[in-house]
Amino acid sequence: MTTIQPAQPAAQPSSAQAPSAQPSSAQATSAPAPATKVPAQASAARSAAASPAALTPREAGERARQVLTEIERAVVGKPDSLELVMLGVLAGGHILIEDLPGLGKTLLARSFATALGLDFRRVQFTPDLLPSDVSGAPFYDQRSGEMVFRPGPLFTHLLLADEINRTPPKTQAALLEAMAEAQVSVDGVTRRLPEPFVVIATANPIEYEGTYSLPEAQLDRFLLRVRMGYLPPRDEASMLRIRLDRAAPEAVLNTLSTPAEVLAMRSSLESVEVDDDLIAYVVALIGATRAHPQIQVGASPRGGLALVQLARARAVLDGRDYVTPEDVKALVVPALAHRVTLRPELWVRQINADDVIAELARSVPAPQTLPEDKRSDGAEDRPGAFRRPAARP
Amino acid sequence: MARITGRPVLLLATAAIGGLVLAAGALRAGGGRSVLDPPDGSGPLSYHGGYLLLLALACVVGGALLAARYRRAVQHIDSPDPVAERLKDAALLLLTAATAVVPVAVLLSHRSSPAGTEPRTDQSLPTETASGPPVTEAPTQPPSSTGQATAGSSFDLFHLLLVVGAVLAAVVVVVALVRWLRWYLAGKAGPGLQLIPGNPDSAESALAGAVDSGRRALHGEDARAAVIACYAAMETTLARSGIARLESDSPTDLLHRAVAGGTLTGTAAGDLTQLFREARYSSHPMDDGHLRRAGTALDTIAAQLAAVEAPEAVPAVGVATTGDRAPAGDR
Repeated sequence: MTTIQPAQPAAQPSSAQAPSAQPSSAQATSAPAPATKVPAQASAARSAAASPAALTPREAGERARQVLTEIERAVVGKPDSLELVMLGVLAGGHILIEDLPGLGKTLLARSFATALGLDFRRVQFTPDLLPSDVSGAPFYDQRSGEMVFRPGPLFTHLLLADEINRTPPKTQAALLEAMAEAQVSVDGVTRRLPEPFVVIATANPIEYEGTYSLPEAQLDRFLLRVRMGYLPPRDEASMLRIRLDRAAPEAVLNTLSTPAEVLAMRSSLESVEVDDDLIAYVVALIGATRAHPQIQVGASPRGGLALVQLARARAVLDGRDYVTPEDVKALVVPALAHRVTLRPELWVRQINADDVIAELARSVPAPQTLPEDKRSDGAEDRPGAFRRPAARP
Repeated sequence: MARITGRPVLLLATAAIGGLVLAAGALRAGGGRSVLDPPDGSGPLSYHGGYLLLLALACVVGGALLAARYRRAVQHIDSPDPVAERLKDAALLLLTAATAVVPVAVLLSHRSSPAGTEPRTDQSLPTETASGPPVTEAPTQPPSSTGQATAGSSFDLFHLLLVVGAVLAAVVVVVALVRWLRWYLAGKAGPGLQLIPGNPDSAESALAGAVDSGRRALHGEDARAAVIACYAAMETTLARSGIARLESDSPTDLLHRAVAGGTLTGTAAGDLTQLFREARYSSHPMDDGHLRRAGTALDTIAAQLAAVEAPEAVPAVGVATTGDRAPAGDR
């Protein structure tokens, strides 16, 4: 069974300009996507976002925090998960949300699309879903007598790939090109996807029946993995109380941004500086995953890029234009845990990648207090100065 | 589960067959006793020196191989809890110790046997062979014929236990020594940053020295370096108070530990940490305002730490910091 929900009207870029617009839920519109010349559509979508107003990191962070505050009205008690998803959006990546059913994964994705003013579509991944159901396929137009490409749900700003691990690897692989290069190749023609293009995929834990584990190449395409987790009892009671007080199934969120502004927020990350010592720290973390005895396959270079970009996004969200060790350390697990493959015997001991990466983050040396040049110019000789301990045999 | 095939199987089978042959040669048919029980269960090879030497050598090789294999298998395993970690270490220690102790015990038991290395002759045996009583009737032998052997066995057992006990005691001493040495070295050069021993007179003077070093930096030309030095002084004072920075600690980690432990309160440490991060990881220009904030935060932190460490020293530190500190604008 395949469920594809097309774009919400309120999330169209034209209507999203008004902050008071009230987008309905994703089920509001059920009209199928029109068959059209996709390059023209994609270029139109790109042109809408072609000239974003430049934002400083501080301004971008302020806008992002406003969006988060708005989303927290709908998704209660999950500020950390929301922040991670926002970091993924800011860093220009795709997000994998892995957890049990019923924890609000779909609501989270839909809320982001609404608050950010992004075109939104949802694909329910099922065992019988075909790649063409995702990317689109040409069909014969009787009026024109030509083969016309009908775009699939990929042609949107924010795609919710629900339960992505319930579909076979062939269909999962249909997302690879789209996620990596923001384009789709069908019948030898490459079509660009609208910008921004964000995939929020949800996955059930792999121990559940009827799931296909995502291949490493697919997992590596996700910038970060987020786990929702259960609400603490107090938050769960609060969530139920809010639902009763609202007297409606879901909160109606305001649209606070536009695709162009999302692109501008992303561009502001390029102004965030990263110290050389922090780059060395990231490299050390990545290298540690490759040398760790419990890890069979370590993190890829793409993992290092993801960690740096996510750290910059965290700095922006914090209103800074420079990265600190805290940014890197806080994102090691979400950015790297899904990119490593543990040794098979650890499965028996119920040790997961999150545990190993967290332990690794606690062991890899962070940048020292004094910069390298200060450490080497005799600063160590001053009272109260520091020096690195001698290497142990 | 990996299956063992090929050459290892052949070696294993050969070793097993050889071991069985040797064991059969060392036991008397129907006796069913080991070589360590010579009076009752000796076989044709029981008292042959070469046999015992071979046995001891096999124990050494087998024990060493087993210990090495075990070490390889567990060295990369990070035990989830301390009990499992200790069990792992204990098993490794036991294997290593057994590799040395068992061969020694075998050789000593052989050397202390009544017949020495010579095969037992008819003269050394009780007269039951000549006089006719079968082996199964040994309990009916006269007390005089078995009394000597019993005395010799208890004497040998005593020496054997003595040697084993001495070896175990030596192992315990060595292990304790190694552990103490590791602990001592970890304390001297632990995973965190190491303080340069400045003034070891007292904790108060060390604290004052660290604060002074930060304050001296405020008089320098480089505001960025001064802010970083102030933060380094805070780290020093925290380390003196028992909260040393670990290698993997970010500034926030250290701050959280200090606040959670009750060593620091208020916003001064947070302000100084924030200033440090900006000075250390950004290219923002640093001015006198940053210096003033860093100096104020450092003074507050020094007063807090001095109060925690030595309540009577607070007034002295407070006065000294106020008097010595020059306005940042005087640089």
